[in-house]
Amino acid sequence: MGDLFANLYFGFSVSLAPYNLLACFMGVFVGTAIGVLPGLGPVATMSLLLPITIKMEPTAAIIIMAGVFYGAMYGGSTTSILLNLPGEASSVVTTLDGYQMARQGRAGPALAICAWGSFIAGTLGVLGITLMAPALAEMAVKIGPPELVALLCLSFLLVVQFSGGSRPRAAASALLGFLLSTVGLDPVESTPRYDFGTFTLMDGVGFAPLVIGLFGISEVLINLEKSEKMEVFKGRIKGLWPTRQDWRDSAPAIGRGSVVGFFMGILPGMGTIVPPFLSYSLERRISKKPEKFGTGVIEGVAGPEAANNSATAGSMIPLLTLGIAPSAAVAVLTAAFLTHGVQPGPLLITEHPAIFWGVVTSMYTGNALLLLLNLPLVGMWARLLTVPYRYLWPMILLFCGIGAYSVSNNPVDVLLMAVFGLLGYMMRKLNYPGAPLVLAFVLGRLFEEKVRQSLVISRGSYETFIAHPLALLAWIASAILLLYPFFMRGKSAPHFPPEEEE
Amino acid sequence: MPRRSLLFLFVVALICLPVKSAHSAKYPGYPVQFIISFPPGGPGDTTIRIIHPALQKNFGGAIQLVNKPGAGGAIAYTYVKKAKPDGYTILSTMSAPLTVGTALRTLSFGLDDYEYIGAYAFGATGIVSKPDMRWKNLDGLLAYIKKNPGKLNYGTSGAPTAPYLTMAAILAMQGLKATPVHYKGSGPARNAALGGHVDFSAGGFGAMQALIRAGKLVGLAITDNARDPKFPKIPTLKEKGLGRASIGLWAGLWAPKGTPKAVLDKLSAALKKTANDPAVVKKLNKAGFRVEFVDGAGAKKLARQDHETSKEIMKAVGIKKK
Amino acid sequence: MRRIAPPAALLAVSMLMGWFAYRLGLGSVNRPEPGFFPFWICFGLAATSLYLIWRSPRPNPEDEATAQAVFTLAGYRRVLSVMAGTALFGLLLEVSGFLAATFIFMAFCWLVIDRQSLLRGLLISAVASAAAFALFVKALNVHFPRGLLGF
Repeated sequence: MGDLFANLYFGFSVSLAPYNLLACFMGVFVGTAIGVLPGLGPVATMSLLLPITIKMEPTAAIIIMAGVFYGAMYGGSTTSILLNLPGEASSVVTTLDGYQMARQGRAGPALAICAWGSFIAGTLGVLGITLMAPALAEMAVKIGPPELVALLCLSFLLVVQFSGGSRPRAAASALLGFLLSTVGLDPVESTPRYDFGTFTLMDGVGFAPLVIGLFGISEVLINLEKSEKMEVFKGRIKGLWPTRQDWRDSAPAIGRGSVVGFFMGILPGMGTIVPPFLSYSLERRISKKPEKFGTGVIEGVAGPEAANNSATAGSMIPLLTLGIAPSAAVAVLTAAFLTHGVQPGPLLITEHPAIFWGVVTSMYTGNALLLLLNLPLVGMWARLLTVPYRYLWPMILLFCGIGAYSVSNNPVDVLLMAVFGLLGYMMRKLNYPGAPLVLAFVLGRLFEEKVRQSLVISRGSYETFIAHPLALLAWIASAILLLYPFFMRGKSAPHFPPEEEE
Repeated sequence: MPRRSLLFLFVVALICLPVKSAHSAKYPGYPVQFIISFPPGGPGDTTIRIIHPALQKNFGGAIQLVNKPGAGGAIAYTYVKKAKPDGYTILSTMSAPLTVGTALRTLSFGLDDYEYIGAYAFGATGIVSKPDMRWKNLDGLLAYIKKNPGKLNYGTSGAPTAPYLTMAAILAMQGLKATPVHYKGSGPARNAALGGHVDFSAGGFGAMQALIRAGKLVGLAITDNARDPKFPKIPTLKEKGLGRASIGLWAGLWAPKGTPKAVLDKLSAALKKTANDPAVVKKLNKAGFRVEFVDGAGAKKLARQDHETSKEIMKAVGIKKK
Repeated sequence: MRRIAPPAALLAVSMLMGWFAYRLGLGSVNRPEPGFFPFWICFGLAATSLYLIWRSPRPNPEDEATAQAVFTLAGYRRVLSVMAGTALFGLLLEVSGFLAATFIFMAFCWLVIDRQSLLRGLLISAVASAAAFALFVKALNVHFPRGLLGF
């Protein structure tokens, strides 16, 4: 333990040096900015920053890059709440209740609770890194294809029960998402599927065009056709800060979200996109008023936002201790290490202690800076909604287009975004939920890949899926989840909307 | 159609009319775009980013790095193939999509669609397994597979990649059987070996070095021409008499067909100077690459050779062109 | 009608996609091939759509509750023209460069769809595209295709 304090002291002496502190501030500042801009994600921005940071000292450069990465998670929620447009892939869930809050004039509290929740979760996540990074990384590697299949199934079950309203429609939406995820080269043999001879589709449907189209564009379309006047936000702004009751509702959600996010972030492939979904469905499940979810409850904002921030911290663990990149954003961080001649991996702590502890401690500072940076902005963002919508919507469309394009600099992605905008618009009009589609899309590819890998490894034997204790545990949890409504039907269980409402 | 819409279309047409480019004769007059066929953080992305500052200095002009990932590199290759051959659009990537990719699939580009500027960084395929397996080296592994035909699984960096072709060729040459499990890239393949989900893995050597140095993985063999000075104990396939299974993995620069010779020479000279910069060499070595400058003609020959090897291996292993 | 049309469309999609998947080769349960997953997903989607069609005569409280369920011809035209504009923006990006494409797109939105007066529309389009250029190209250093004049 004394060792730990010595290390932390050493780390802070590095990260609080004026130059590094400035680097940290720059990083989180840029991170927040690009987080706010839809589509322009941390991956693109970090790769754009690489040439600039190359002239800096390695420690400062990596502090900046990491700052952009977790800073983006703070900003990502802003447009989700204000415009129903996820600024980052990880803030899709925030739109569900955040946007409703904004429409009721409660954008201020929603934004503020996001900043606080992100801060608390981010700090808890870094604490997690400090205390148990090496052990967790070893564990994450042990999770093989069969265990992941079981965990993914568990997540799938949560999806279908996840959104309110008609469950058959949620299932249809999820299946459509799953089908979309099979577009492109198949994950095992690389056979092209559904590419219709185009190169863009050969690589599968991009996540950014899908999400931006389905949520952001469709919202603009709905508002545009509604009336010529386009009054989207009728309510007045009621208070900027969370009330005591808001805090009482959010605090436990933030705590649970942090834990879920952190551990999910370590798993390969889950990244920062899945944890918010799980946090949301967890909150819904244990809430006393689950029917209110989706109408603007603050727990539905606080939990997922906490989850995506601690997931960011969690996904740093495999990088720092094993040199493994669990997501695209972390891959760019790896490149940042390498361009400075530093090899991330098991030897990082001993070979470059200043970088390791400097970066880890800078994340504490960075989270505090982010809170200080974001809270004053809440008022400004909330006022954005007073701009007449007729001036706002072309700009929203432009930002969406730029976002879709800049992910892989491919103009076809802008066309795809428009197509998904239309699909999202139809789905909204016809009351088909969009969130299950997105989650099934994310999980789908991983699911197929892992099932098929498992079967290749086990020579086609299905026993492999229950041979591992963790997998077995996940299956049991899934079974309980599946049978739960039947047990609860006798008692007055409000957890599910009345069946058969079609 | 309302008058306003017509007017609008007219303006659009006007703006889009192709105008003869008014660039001055001096090259480079404005930033040159390097198109990278990998996403940020991918193997061909890291190499160019490492040399970028030095290359820019030696080139004497701004160079922008633009990632156009997708379809195994096909999007970037096609984009550059169709670009104006004015020296402002350059392809910067690894050789594999061009050499291996065109052997495996019918694609819209080929070896002769580009001008070769040069190659600078050479990677290798590495074969690794955990230290506590029943074998300690490649011979041990091959002997074990012989005794247990079809029992072992190996991870690969993907079905259409050079490491898979190499490993499949080794097994085919020795008349052995083991089952490939394809992962998405060298990182996941290496992790599968590390976590014990497969018995050994073949992937880009660069991705494996940190874990080999830490003693968490054992390097059984690499494909390069000579041993890596950082890992003198790991033998090459050539030494083992399996050199024919080696497919080169190298980073280089390409230009659209018809790019003026002066432009190619200028870029080639800058690349040569950069590849001889000790600071750049050190960083590329750390990232897992051997540095050696090969000029345009040499790179073209390398590409041809890798392409033929890939086709031979496919024939020997029984992989059909899709 | 509006409760039958969507599942009917889904059914058509799943049958078409399922047929494509079938032709890719299904393999077996123990050794799935590329077509296996898409095929069974399509099967599930088709089954769900059939269930939804069967259920469609019953009223759905959710559908009743939402006022936005009305489709109007004018609304459709607006929606489709906005999407056409967005698609145009994507197509123009690599032809005319970022700045010109943005200006055209903004002008399209404000002049053709929102019907601002000509001068006013052009002015705010110019301001908006200049701001976007400053933010994305200058401040954030995003690389866009260059058009004429090097923008």
